[in-house]
Amino acid sequence: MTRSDQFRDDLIMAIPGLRAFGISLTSRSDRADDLVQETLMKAWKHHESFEAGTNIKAWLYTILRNEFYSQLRKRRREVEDADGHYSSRVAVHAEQHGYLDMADLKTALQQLPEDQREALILVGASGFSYEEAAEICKVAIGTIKSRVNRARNKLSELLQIESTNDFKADINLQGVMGGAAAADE
Amino acid sequence: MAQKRQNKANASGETNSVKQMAMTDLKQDGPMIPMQDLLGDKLREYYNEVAREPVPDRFDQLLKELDARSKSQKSS
Repeated sequence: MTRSDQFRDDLIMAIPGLRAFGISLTSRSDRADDLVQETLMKAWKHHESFEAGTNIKAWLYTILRNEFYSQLRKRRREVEDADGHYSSRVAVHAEQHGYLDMADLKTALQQLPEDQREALILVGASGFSYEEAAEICKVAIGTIKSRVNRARNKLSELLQIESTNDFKADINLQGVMGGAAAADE
Repeated sequence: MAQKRQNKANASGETNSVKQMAMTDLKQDGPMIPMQDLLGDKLREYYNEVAREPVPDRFDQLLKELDARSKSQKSS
């Protein structure tokens, strides 16, 4: 297998996760897929600048994230009223019946500031470590930890469930995610 | 505080079952999932919902085109 075949396979493997990350950022699958397309094209173009053996997944998520923010800056004026648009009340009392509705989670996620949402998704769902998430978002590890914390608290408040806010739980989560990711492959 | 919660989880024997559930499938919404990790489970379910979809054809097509283009550049 040539180096470029390997690279192409790595890109293909990364697409499902990139789409999920894109949707969590944009909340729209058409925009997410446009982001993924841009990401793949940029990755291909800058193939040479990627060092083989380093973390290609983190590299690709970084490209997608950069693309998202550059598009967001262009769109900012159009979407300024989006916050008001999405602030419908979440009505479910999850704690009462141990059930959390997916639609409520999506609504609540959209009410988080972008920096908190992306940190939460990267660490809590994509399976990145705090270190990797910090690298992708170009901030200090402590900043990522605090964003994840605030995101969890805010979501718990919006969804009216008990706030865990417990890094011990997050460390366990990462172990679980590692296993789940390996199983998917 | 964290210690207390840990003890509680161990006492009810839930820690392992949570891990096992998360490793196998994330579809469960039932009362088996302790409140402690309801949010984490739901987040991963949300993410995996998309991540498990088949890759749209447009990306397959795109990569084939990119691949063909770079191969023809090399040979020319």
